[in-house]
Amino acid sequence: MNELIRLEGITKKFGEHLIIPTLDLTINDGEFVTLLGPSGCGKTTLLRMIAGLETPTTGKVILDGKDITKLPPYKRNVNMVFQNYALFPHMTVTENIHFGLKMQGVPNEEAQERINQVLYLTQLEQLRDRYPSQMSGGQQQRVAIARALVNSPKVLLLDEPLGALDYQLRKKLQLELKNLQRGLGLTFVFVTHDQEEALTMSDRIVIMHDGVIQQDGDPNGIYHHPKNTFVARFIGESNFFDIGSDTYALRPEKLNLCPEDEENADHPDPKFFGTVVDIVFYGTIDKVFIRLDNTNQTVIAYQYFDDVHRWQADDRVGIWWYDRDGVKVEKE
Amino acid sequence: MKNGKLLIAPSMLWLGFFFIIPMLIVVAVSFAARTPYGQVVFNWNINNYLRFLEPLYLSIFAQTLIVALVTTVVTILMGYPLAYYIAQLPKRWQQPGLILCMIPFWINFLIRSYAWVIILRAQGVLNTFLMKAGFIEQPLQLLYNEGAVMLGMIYSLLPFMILPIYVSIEQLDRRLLEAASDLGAAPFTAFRKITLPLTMFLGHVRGTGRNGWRQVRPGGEPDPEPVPLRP
Repeated sequence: MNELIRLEGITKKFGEHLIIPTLDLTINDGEFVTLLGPSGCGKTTLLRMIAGLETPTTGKVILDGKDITKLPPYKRNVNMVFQNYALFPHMTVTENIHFGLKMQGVPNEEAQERINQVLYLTQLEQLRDRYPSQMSGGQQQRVAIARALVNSPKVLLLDEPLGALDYQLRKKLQLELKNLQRGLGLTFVFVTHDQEEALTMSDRIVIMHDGVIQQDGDPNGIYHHPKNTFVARFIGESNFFDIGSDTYALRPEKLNLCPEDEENADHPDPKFFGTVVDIVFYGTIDKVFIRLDNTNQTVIAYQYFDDVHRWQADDRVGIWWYDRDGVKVEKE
Repeated sequence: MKNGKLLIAPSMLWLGFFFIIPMLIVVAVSFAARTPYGQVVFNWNINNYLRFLEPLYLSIFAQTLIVALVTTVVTILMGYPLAYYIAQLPKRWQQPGLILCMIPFWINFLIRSYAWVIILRAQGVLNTFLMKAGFIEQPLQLLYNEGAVMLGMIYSLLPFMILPIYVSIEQLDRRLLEAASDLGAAPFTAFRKITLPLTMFLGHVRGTGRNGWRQVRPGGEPDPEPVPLRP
């Protein structure tokens, strides 16, 4: 894969406040990369640096082999889908989409053709003459995407584009966006704080915290092999067990429960014992909350609808797992 | 919603009493006649409207419109850049900027108008300076003409242009400008295509009412505020 964007030794200070200490990141052509992290972790700042809306305090932004660090946004061949869409309220859908092409001086005939193409891709043909105020959030979102896509940017930057939509619509647009990206072979840099969104959409996830990349890898690797407690906690649910001087992270689905006094068990011996404090219904699963004996720590295991043994509050349990499922993680 | 309506009731009543009712009275009087001593006689006729069509009044009307139009254009041209400048200042400097625009208007209109007379009259500040500096030999007639009317109008109405423009620029979503820049618009283009259309409005015809007043009595003493017709 060809390298498309390279961030080299990026730092960013706002006044005296250091947002990004030192950061290097490479994004390849055709990749769907998600920058994931809690709010204030610097992910949006990073995205805005690629767009040219922020300038790094030190370091370089390289796009397609060219140093664009000092280039203003309007001279960069990248486009952004803004968090609240930032559609021009005094322009219709078509005029909004036409804006970028006009700026580039694309001849009208070609422009109309390209506009029709993105209207088709984003299923906006019926709404082409509407104003943003006459459309729903999901429709406005599509316009924002169409307005960026029509310029055939080298990279499409998306800043929490689905954040303002309701759950059902978000699920739908997640799939649509992913299909669009794959179908057109585009490079997407997607910013979100929603770990589920990141897992379902991305080829690669970059997890950030306090301006530092915590882990960079494909969703599967990140989910199953978190490097440190932050990643393990931020992506999915995790339990942490201290064994000797090491910390192990275990997903609730990897924890198995057995009665405390079980004999002749055909599984590894329990590593911890505890008392069930609560069982909460979650639809497909029940979450079983267990307080460990030695520490005051509460861990979570799942109980499935077809499990033979139903746990009750105050039951004494042993907790065991297969060694291959325990992931040794660095402490934050 | 119901509470909201109650809250606006006082201002609606105020407007009703001091704006709408007087307006209706003016409309009623327009269909009345006047005795030689100035008493109003309600004999319902349209003579006043026929008199309005006489060339004298039509030309006054036309002049009024022209002065209003010029005033509007000039106050926009002067007010927009200033409003834009204030809106771009750091937050803590915006308030003082606006107050500086308003301070002259804490002084009575009459007094401010006399200040202009002192500046513009034949032995006034401006003429004296120009003569001393040798630019002119005879004092210029700066008062009691079209130019003076225009100057007074622009001077007194400028803040009413600055304030609403400031508000609309201040409320403009900066992300729209970022989006424009992202889509390839250089700063001036973004200003022309986004900022200007979204902050400009041409419904500003405040000039018209006052001007009619002035045209009827050219060169008279400065006008009182035309309360209550134009609050």
